[in-house]
Amino acid sequence: MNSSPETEPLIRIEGLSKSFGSKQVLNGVDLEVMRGQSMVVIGGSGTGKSVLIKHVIGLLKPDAGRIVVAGQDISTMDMRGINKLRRKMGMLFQNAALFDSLPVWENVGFSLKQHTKLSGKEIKKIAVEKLKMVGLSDEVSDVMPSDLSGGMRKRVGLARAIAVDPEIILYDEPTTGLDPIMADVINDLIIALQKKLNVTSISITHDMTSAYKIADRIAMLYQGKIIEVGTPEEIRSSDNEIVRQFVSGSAVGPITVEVMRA
Amino acid sequence: MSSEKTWTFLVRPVERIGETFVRPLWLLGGITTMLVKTVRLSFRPPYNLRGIVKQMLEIGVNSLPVVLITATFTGGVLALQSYTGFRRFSAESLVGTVVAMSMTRELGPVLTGLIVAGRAGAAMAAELGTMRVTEQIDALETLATNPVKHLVVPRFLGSLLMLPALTVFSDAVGIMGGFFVSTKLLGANPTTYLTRTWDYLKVMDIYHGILKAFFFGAAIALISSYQGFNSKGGAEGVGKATTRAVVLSSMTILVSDYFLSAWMFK
Repeated sequence: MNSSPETEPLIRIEGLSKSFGSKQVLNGVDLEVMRGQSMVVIGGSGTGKSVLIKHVIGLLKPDAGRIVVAGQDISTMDMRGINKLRRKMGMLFQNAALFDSLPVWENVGFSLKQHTKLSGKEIKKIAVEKLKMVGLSDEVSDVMPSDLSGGMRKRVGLARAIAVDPEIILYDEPTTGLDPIMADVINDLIIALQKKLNVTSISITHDMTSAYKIADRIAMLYQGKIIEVGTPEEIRSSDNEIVRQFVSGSAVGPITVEVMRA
Repeated sequence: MSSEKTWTFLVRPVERIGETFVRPLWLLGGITTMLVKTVRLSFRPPYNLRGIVKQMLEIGVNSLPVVLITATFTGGVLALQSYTGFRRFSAESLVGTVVAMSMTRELGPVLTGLIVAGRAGAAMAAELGTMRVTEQIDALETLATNPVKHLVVPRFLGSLLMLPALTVFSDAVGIMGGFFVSTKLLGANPTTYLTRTWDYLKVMDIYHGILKAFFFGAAIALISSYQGFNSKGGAEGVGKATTRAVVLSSMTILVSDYFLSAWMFK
């Protein structure tokens, strides 16, 4: 859709810091994501990856720093501005976060119902279309979320995220809790959507297989900072001991030492 | 490093004491903020009529059986007890008046409030709490939907409207319960009983009871929604939020009932 090279990143995070109580979670995160790029943030559990992407969609307010999305600084925006921006964004939550009081199609069409004047019939038609895009048949559209398996829930969550044709999609641990095959199905879906919809995305994960597969660039979050950014190849052959330990999944290394001391 | 540890050691107990006093203020502040937001958003279109009706059914219609049974027996026991007491100075004829006044002014709204707090308030806190810990409230926000408008406003309006309605039922059934016990079991004259009830019952008694019910309805919805919204930490957190919602709503009803009575019936 937009193949002209751009110099300005679509998402720019500058010096983002956030603490909860006395716990400093993010401590000056800098990250840039160009339009159309798939950025994957890796890092251990509890290192603040979720906190990071929740800032990008305005669910959390930074203590310090800026988050500039499409040229607008989210951290200084009012609710109305943020909500306007959110209508160009979609987010897939870790456990899909489907509304369990609504059937699948109403989950997918939720945004359309809230923000457009489309009739229920039209919304359902669009919802079925989106479900098809994530590989679900229209039979599931009337099922309640509680009757779905984990992989199906994620797919419905994905359909909900793309229902408004977003420019930006955020994935919070898209493959966590899925069996390896289902995880790969989700990976393929993410790549397919990336190509088809030309979206810009940030994913967070600790699943390296998934990271290598879906990423254009990988960033490693460690102790509240981004310690390295690069292409999957660069990350795979990184000299940084922390990165090396993490991507190889070894229990021995600088990260363990930190964990023990804490 | 070690001086920092000493410092923490000295400061921690003081912090604890401070926390004990500050926490109720936090709570009050949080609930007040939610009240302001909810009232403001209640008037802002689009109006979610379907959501409000659903809550009215849940809070009002589904609580009705419990309210009716409770009120019947409360009216009955009031008649029984006041008859026993009044007989000691031959004032049995006033039983009807006492039952009617007690039900309309106090027991109708208060018992209804307590039942709704235990039923609907607990459900609100548990449902919203689960939505919070499963990130459904975050998901609402990412879909550019205000969670207070979407979730709290219908519960607030439903509760505000249904509590007075339930109270009217409770009043009527309580008086009937008293009438039944007095006339069928204690041998009171039905005509005298009803005359005494109607002659001494003022419209103001009913009206003030209903006013209380409005207040209780608002309090239950706000307290329970607030607790649900602020629950954290999985199933245990939701359980705690639900308990807090019911305890705090019930206490608010009983304490505020005194002050509302003192203010309205002075």
